[in-house]
Amino acid sequence: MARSYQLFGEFLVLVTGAVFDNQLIEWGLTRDPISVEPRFRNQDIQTDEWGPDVPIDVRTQATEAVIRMTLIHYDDAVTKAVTRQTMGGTQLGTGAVWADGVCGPSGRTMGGGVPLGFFGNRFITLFLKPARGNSLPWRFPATYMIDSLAVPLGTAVTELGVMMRAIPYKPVIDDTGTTPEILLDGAIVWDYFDLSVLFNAAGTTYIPPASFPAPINDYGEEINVIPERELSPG
Amino acid sequence: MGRSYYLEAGCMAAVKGRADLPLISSLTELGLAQDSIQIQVTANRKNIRVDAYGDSPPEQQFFGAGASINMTLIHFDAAVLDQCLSESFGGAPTAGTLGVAGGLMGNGVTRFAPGGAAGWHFVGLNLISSAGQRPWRFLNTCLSDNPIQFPIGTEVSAVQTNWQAFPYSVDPWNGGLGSYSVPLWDYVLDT
Repeated sequence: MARSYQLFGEFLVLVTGAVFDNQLIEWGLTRDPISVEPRFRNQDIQTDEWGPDVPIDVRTQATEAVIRMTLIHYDDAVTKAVTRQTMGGTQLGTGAVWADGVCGPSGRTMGGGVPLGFFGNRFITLFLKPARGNSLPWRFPATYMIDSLAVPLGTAVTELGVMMRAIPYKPVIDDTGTTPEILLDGAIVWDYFDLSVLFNAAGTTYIPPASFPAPINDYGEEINVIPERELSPG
Repeated sequence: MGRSYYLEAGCMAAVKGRADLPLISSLTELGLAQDSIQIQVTANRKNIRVDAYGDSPPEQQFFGAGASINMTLIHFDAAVLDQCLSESFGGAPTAGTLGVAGGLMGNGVTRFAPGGAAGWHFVGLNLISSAGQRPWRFLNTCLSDNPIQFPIGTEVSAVQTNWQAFPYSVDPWNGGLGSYSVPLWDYVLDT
């Protein structure tokens, strides 16, 4: 650790997830710096002795993060896929809900209770790949679009205003079909993952990271709660 | 290379455009200038401020460069100049007409890539010394700002032309290198 100017250089934005068949896909380049904003949702513990404004202690709660970026050189098909997932669209490609601009069913969960990269999970895993070796690659395992997607349509080049929310998602069943204890402890909002270890030997298929709870509950029991066929990736 | 007087001498301006423009698809003479051709290179920088230094920056960042080339053509091929103009207007069909508003000049394709309106619209500008000095090649240029000033009268027409050179690349990510090693000019003629 040493004090210095901090220059992180340019980043390439990549995505993966079930909708992309777990392939790592380039989304694009941004016009300006990407803004990563962790949002800490800690809670005050109040006591009358301390008065109404200053807590005697603070409880940590789940943290989330917001990633803002203006894409300038991007793959529009990826944008549409991310948008469809954010709107709860199906991943099967059948029926009207596959179309752009069409909502999925009300109340559909983004994660679907299943691990990232599995059918039914609509979260997008977002990667910020640095060009410089001294910068860390950022990974946000579970993200989706929030607020609005600004799409200027005109003669000037379209700069896409994107805001993604990253949450510490954990599935209710893991990749072996068992139901683990759902604990916030250890849940990942972001990390600095080495992109090179995320691929199979052929370098073609993204391997979802094992960032989920252990495949057994607190009693060491394996619990199959959904049929095996629904756990197949993609 | 050694220290000496540098005499570029007479300089021929030649251009090369996209492959489906027969007139300039190979290196083609544009013409001779009335006087010196002016090359002005501009580098973009941002200062890093530290309060301890006040207004004098202790460090600086480099943010790319461009170049402008100004020449007054006196003995030139008007058809070639017209072709350069129409390409500089975003790939317009003819000189004096416009390309589409918002059209891209490089269009995400390689130098000289054909394709009509979807092709590459920059022009490669080559400056060739008659005295055997090293040539200048600006790989991606267009007539810009006030592209031409064309005097029409009893005296011979000396046409002022203003060119801008860009460090164009198909993919600005450039394999993670960004603008590193992207050429703005070199000393190798187009063929």
